[in-house]
Order: sequence, then structure tokens, then C-alpha cells
Amino acid sequence: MYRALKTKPWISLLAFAAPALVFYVIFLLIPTLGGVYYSFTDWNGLFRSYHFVGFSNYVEAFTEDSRFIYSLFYTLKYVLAIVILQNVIGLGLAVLVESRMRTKALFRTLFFMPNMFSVYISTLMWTFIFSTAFPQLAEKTLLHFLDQPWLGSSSMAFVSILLVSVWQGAGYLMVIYIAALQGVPRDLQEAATIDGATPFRKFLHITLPMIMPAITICAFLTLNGSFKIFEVVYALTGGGPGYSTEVIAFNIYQEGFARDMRYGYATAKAMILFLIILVITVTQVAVLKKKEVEA
Amino acid sequence: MRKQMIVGLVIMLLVGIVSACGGNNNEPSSSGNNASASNGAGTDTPKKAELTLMLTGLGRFKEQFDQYLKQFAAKEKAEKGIDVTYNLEVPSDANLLKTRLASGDAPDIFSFHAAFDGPIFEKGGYLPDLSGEPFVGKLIDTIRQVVTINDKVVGVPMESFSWSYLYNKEMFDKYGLKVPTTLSEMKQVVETLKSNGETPFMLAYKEASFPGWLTQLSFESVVAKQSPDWWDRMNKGEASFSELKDKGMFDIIDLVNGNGTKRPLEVGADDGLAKFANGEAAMLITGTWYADSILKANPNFKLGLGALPVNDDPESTMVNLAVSTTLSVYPESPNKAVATDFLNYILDDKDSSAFFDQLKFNKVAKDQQIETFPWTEQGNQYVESGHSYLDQSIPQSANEAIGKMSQSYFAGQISQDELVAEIDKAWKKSVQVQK
Repeated sequence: MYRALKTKPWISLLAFAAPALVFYVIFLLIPTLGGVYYSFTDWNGLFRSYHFVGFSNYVEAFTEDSRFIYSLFYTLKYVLAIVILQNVIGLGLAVLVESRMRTKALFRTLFFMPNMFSVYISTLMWTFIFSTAFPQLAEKTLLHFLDQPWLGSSSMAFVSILLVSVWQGAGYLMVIYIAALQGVPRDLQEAATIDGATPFRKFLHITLPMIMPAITICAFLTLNGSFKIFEVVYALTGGGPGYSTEVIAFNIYQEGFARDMRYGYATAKAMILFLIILVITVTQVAVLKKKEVEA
Repeated sequence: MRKQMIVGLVIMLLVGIVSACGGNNNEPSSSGNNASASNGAGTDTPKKAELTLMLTGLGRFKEQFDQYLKQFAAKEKAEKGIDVTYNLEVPSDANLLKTRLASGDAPDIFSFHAAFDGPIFEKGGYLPDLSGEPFVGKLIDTIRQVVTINDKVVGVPMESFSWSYLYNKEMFDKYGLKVPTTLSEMKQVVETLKSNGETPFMLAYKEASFPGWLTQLSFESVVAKQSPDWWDRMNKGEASFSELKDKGMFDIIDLVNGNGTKRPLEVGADDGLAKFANGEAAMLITGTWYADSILKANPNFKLGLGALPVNDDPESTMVNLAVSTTLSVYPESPNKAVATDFLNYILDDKDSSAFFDQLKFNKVAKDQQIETFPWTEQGNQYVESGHSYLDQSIPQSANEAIGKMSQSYFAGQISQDELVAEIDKAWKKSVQVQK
């Protein structure tokens, strides 16, 4: 039996990997490859026949589709803001929660809670807050600054989208950062304290380098997730006013389902999004990995 | 030995998974079987037929359709000796039908929007030519035109509307206002309402369709009276919205946008309907398809329907006559004969009036006797006095652009010229793509 295992290790490996592999191939790999194929056609999702159009979908996306280019840059702006905001706030919350021994569990739960709601439903709730609760608060209390066209102008809508996204995502990152903070060796901290380091210097020179792996993961998660943002925009502004808050995923959705059903073209745009995410996340992980240190 | 057992089990599991996945694929072929049984085409009489129906967005009428299908089955059994069973689906997502059509797993009978989806369905070969069927002769002429594509009658129209804007009758009566017939009269109404502290228009612009309807009604009315050949020219790429701009298309748009409720870009459809129902504004630019929701929000609401004036010619003040739901049969359906019988039965001389009455649908056939709502009556009056135009197919990208750009225009992000240019561009692209 031992010999059998040794000579044919691939059989048992395959046996364990096969169920997952089958699902992966049927539900992910084949549809993805199908997508690559359709991105080179003019299929409209309805007709049984279509034509092979080569790279013209890809060319059109970059040369004729000003709305797509706009959504591309809009998404980049959003990603940049979210990666910074969500990580800074997530880490900040983690440090705060960790420093409070007694109420730790309570705050951890509270901050994590938004992450457990359905994104779509909680965003609808925010729509109500922006349209009704904030204006009323502004009217009845001294919080006059709340009286803004939260969803009515493109610049404020951007702020609103950021607000909801951070509210939803920061708690999740906080949990990862808490785990990382707990892994920072106490002796290093104590040694630094004895050497007379201030809490801020300790954080900068001990904690931060030690939690670098967590930062790599969190940056990856936010980068990857925020490129694909859809629900928040869909529920909050519907891409409006006009096209002003249209992100790539929403643009693709509109192209396929709300406009002329150009499935082939929409798929090509989805492939572009996929390539962008791939390149950026791989670069990001490679860069941040180099900054990780051992205790 | 044990290891081999594990490997064996895993393989069995895999086979199970794969065959379970394949299981679904078998279904259509089995329905195909009993289909071929019923497809005797003359020689031997079919005995059985299972109709599959997909009526998108008609979930609220499932009971009525169930009842009518049962009546149909009894009639078919009595007259032709065919046992009809049926499988009725009422999904809310319109993409399901498109997927089923594309994958060759089409339902025998399906519903669609003749103006929106009709042209592309027809082009894909998914619509039959029913011009010779008995029901065609019963249709009201204008309604028949809406379901005629390339000179073929492609389905039975069911739900139709004449629409423009809704108003609060009680509020109009309170200030002694009459439904305006010209733009000047509308301005007068707006002034009177404002001087009494009321808001003239309910604006629910979070969804682009609402500002889009305003633009649509405005430009369509301008076109209907002043340049009827605009549609043809536009679809050939020879016309532009700028002509309509010069003919005053923005006059009513600016009047409505300038005299509406506050913060409209944050007000969604449901919210806006509820506020309108509770008297927060006198008028709302939308169709009677929301009558139910408004009455649900306020059962005592007195709903009125008016036609939006676009200039000072009362003849230009018109309602849009649209058919939003049409039923058709899949041309390659193995049950085509029975399915077509059902379509004819929808306008059956004896039973159709009662059916439409239950559904609260407007009449589509000349002989139907249906008790109508007061607002339907108002709509019919516009139609009968010639103050209506037929709903035309706006290419879908252009339709989306009309909504989105009207929203931007309201938000002050773009000028009239930019709105015109953007819609022209989308329209042109749509025409080019559909070729």
C-alpha cells in the first residue's frame, strides 16, 4: 500500500482534487473560455447566428466608446480612493479596537456588522438616509452641512459611493488587521518601550513592518474588489445623474442588458476589465511582497 | 484496497455530478417528444399537447391566466378532442426569455413588448406571421398597427395604454383648474398652483426612465404633428434631434423641470408615486401602469390622465398610444397549432371581454365590452378625438440615452445641444448595430 502511494502519487492527488476541479472546469473555465471566444464576435445574445469580427470589439472600446473610457478612469479614481481609505480606516479601527480590552468584542462585532448585510439591501437603506434622513437631520438639528445633494450632483455622488463602500468594507479588513496585530511579538514592543520609543514610533517601526503580510492581502482584496464594484452604484445612483457615476462593471452591464444587447461587445469589455485587474493585482502583490519582513 | 475504494467512490461521485448536470439538458428533448406526438400535421389527429408559456412580468395576473387556460383546455377538448395541459411561467426578468430563445429551448407562447423587442425578435426569426388568423380582423385598427412588423401581424396585443401625465383630480377641482390644452394654459395652471402654495410637478428622477418619459413625450408630440416623416429619416440617419429642438421640444421640458418637487435625483419611483398619491404635487409625468401603485399608497386618490401640451397648438397636445404586452407563438413550436388556437381564444367573442375585465386591461378588439377606469376613459377620449399618436420603436440605446441625458440635463451637467448630440449619436450607433 505504501509503495502504491509512492509510485502513483498522482492518483490520490487527483482523487482529492477532482471534485473541485470538475466544478472549476465546468462552471468557471469553460464559460470563461467561451467568453474569450464570444468577445471576438458580434453575437447579440438572441440570434442563433453571429459573425466573427476579430479584434474590432476591442478596438471600438478604446477608440469610439468615450463612455467606456470615462467609466475606466472613473473606476480608477474610485479604486485609488477606496484602497487608501478602506485600508487606513480598517487598520485604524483594528488598532482602536485592540487597545480597548473590555469592549473589544462589542466593537469588533459592531464594526464588522455592515459586512454581513446584503450589499444591495444595505445600499438601498443608504439611499433612504441620503434622500430623507440627512436632509431632515440638517433641518431639525445644527448639522447643516448634511444638507447636500448627496446623489444629485456627480461630485457628491462620488463621495456618497465612497462612504457606503467604506462603511461596508472597512469592518472586514479590520478583522484581518486585528489578527495580524495579535501576531506582533510582545517582546519587540516591550524592548522598544524600554528603549524609550513613543507609541507612534513603535507603530511605525515595529507594528507596520510586522503586519506587512496583512497589508498585502488587504490591498489585494480591496484592489480586486473595488475594480469590480457594481451593486453600490447600481442601487445608489444607477450610474446617474446621466453617465457621471458609471463604473466599468456597470457600463458592461448596461451594454449587455439595457442597450442594444451587444453581448459580444460587452464581453470584450469584460475581458479588458479582467486583464486590467490581472496586471494591476499581480504587480501590487509582487511589490508589496518585497516589503514583508520576518520577526 | 481501501485506497481503491476511495478512488472508486470519488469516481462514482463525479459521474453523479456530471450526469446530474446533464439531466437538465434532457428536459427539452422529452418535451420535444410529446411535441412530435401532437404534431400530426393532418394525417392523424393529435391527442395531447403540453403548452409552455412564458409571460414575463405578468406574475400579478397568474391566477387570471390560470383560469383562462383551464377554460381554453376545456374548449379545446370539446371542439377538437385534444387534451391540453400547460406549464405557465411568469418570470420578472426579461432576459430569461431571450436566453431560452437563443438556446433553442423556446416556450410555445411568450409575451414581449412589440415596440421595444418586436423589431429584433422579428429579425431573429422568433415571431410568426399571424396575419391570416381570425383574431386579426377583430382588432382595433390603431392597435393592430402597433403589433404589425414588416407587414406581418406578429402577435395578440393584450395590455395597452394611452399615456402622457397623471394628475390629482381633487387638487385640480379645489383650485378650479381645467386640464390644459396648450402650453400657455399649462403655464397658467402652474402659476395658479404655485400661488396657492402647491408644487405643480412631482419629479422622481433617480431612475432615468422618469426624466426620459418627459423628453420622449415632448419630442414625439412635436414629431407627430410637425414632421411625421422624422422617424423614417431618423432611422436612415438623415434626421437629428436638433430639428426638434428648433421646433420647441424643450419648452415643456423646462417648464416641468423648473416647477417640480425638491431633490428629485434622490427620489426613486416608489417614493415618488407615494408622495404624488399623498398630494405633494399636482402632476406626474408617467403612464397609467402606475395606477395600481398610486391607489395602493392612497386608496382615496382621484387619478386623472391628461395629455402634455408642447406648444400653443391644441392639436399637438396628444397622448401616446402604446401596447406594452403582446402574446405570440414560437414559429417552430411543435405545438404551434394548439398555441395559435389559444392566441385566437384570447380574443374569443364570448369569453374575452370577461377576461380583459378581470385583468383591468384596456380594450384591444372592437367588440370587447370592458368596464373602464375613469382615467382609461379620459385616455380613450383623447384617442377618439384624434389626440393620440402611435408608440414607435425607439432603438434601445437611444432610449437609454434619452433617459440618462435628460437626467444630466436636469442636473445641469449638459446643455440642450449636448443632449441632442448625445441622443443622436446613440441612435445612429443603434441603427448601425442592428443592420
